[in-house]
Amino acid sequence: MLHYSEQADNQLMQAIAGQDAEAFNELYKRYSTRLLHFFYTMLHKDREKSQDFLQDLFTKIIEKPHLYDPSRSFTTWIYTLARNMCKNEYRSMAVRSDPEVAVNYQVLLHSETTPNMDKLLDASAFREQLWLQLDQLGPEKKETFILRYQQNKSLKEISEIMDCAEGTIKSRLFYTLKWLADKLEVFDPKI
Amino acid sequence: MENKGSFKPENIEQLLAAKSPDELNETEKAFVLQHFKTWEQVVAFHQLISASRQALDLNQEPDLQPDPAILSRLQQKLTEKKAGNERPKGLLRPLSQVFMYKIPVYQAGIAAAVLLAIFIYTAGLEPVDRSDKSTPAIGRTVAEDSLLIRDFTVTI
Repeated sequence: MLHYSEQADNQLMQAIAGQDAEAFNELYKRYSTRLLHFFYTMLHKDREKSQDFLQDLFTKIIEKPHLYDPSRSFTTWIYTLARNMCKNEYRSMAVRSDPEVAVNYQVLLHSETTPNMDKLLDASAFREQLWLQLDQLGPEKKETFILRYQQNKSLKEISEIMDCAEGTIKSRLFYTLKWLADKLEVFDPKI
Repeated sequence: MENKGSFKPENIEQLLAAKSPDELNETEKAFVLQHFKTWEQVVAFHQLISASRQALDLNQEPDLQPDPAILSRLQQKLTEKKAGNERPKGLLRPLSQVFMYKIPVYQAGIAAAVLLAIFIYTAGLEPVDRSDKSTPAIGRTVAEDSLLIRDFTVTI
């Protein structure tokens, strides 16, 4: 029998369905950090909430392993779960509305002090600006962007996770980048 | 694709947006290399993608790691689930656990209502017996009464 670290994700999931603790630990090791960063990015850099979401996601894996279809990609499945959790959170945030207001206010503050070239060339300043602009994107555009450029998912994987055509993902990425290029003017060669 | 006449910088930008350099096939690589430097906006677009990747890189937040307590809690959950699955069912389950089961109030209410309904229904079905044996005095003769009185007197 293969060592756990050599087993495929779907094999580990089958073992987890039989409450195999070692298999669970291996799967957790493979995905926990990546998913934590995904949540962190999607949930406006809320560390505490990201940790809670991570725990909830893996609790679902423990409690309902039968929901996973072994004929499908595990990565796609787990990111679909993570994405749905974020979508639910966005819905409740929309009901509460406070976080949205807070984010807009933050952007407003930054827009009043438009960063100069020197500042933006600094990687950390760019990073800050990028995060702020990402928070202004709609959830679907933001998710697409994060899945592609942070989680390194292929177009095919993203289209499966988000349940839409590859062409849609492709154009969504293109127009998001165009929009970001416009917002982060430092990358406009005409400046 | 390589026809220069129909070439637009957006063609390369779309390609760069969709695929990282290592995902491009040979034809696409050649196409990108051929036109890449001729358009400033394509270079800028590529820079934006690279910078975004770098900014979102997981290593940029080295202190953002899963809380070790999460794994402990999850392991605990898994152990509990395993123990739950291994526990004997039905009569073999320890009695203490059976007694610990709390019956919801509404269930007790439903049971009481059902019992009451059954009682009313069965009581309604029984005809009133007019010659009820519990009232023996009605059917007794004078001779029987005399015998009873005699027995009573003897007993005293």
